[in-house]
Amino acid sequence: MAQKVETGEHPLDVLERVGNIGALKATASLSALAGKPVENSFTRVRIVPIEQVPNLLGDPECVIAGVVFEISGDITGSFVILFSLRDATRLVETLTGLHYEPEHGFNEMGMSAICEAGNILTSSYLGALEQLAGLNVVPSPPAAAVDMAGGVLTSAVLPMHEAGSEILFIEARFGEGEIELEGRMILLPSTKSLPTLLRAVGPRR
Amino acid sequence: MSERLVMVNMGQLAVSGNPEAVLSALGLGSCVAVCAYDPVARLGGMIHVVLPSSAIGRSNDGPAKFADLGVPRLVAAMQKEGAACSRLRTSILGGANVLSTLDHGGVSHIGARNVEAVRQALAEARLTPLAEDVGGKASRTVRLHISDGDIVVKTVRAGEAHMTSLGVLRAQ
Repeated sequence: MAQKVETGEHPLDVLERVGNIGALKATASLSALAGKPVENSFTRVRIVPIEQVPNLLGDPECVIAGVVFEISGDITGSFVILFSLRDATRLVETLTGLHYEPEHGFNEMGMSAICEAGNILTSSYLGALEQLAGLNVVPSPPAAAVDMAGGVLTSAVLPMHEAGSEILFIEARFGEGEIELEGRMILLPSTKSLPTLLRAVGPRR
Repeated sequence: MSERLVMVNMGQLAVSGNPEAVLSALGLGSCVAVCAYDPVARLGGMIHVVLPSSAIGRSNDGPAKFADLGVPRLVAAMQKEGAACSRLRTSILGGANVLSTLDHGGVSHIGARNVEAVRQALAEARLTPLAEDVGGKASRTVRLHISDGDIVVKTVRAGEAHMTSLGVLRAQ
């Protein structure tokens, strides 16, 4: 059963809290997969002009590993998981038991390990969203890329926001556990899904 | 000669006649950079196109967010600074499909549509691109050196590579 959130809070604060719980569940699953603790560090909600998307993580040329899902159901948009190249390598090595040199990228097995980590994080996060907000959201199969942050971020955002000039994103950073793995999970609801999302987390009527 | 990087961010347009200037668009995924250069006036321009058509545009959008508006604005801005339309050499770069396994609801991916819209807008301005580096799956960084019209492209896998020069005087 959906547990509705408390009334009287600003919708963006509620979204942040919902995102935080989603992220907690997701990192708990990642810990189970990796067999080591992974902690959640913070969650925040930001609204930014679409022109700033390539710079969301700083340098748009910075090489990252990204797993992107299109989401559909009660809301549409995308769900993005990003790791620095160094941390993606650490994750892949933990999951596959093989050694990788980050500058050489990943083979098929490495990419599929990244996708698998992405699948687990995403299904836990979206499961929490369903529990908390009563929203049924289904992810597409993952698309993974090791590429410049600007290209990955814009490719995740633009298809869902062609008509929008601003995007809302719910970012959760995790890491700082024993595994020393840092990453980001970003929920990017499409412009047309914002009313549904805000209503779902809004005051009980 | 010292270089001065001029960032051309999403939706922006830049024109420069400063030989030290290097117009730069970083980490282009589905976005497209259009470079234009007048080798006689030593004047270069770049737009960073985000989407193909302004049909969905708003008043606060950047001047070059849409291919159909950005290309004529680039040509006009070049002419205003002293370039001759007949001498303009152009190049199209970007339009990759970085997340190629997503189906985007069955619609063809934005990169391909951006490239097509830019080609069409250039054709309408009676310009034929001298060189193209478009499509594929890899993000690109594009730099246009105003001193000589050289275009340098960078990808994660291939690193930096000289792509073409719009500054060499030769029959097109």
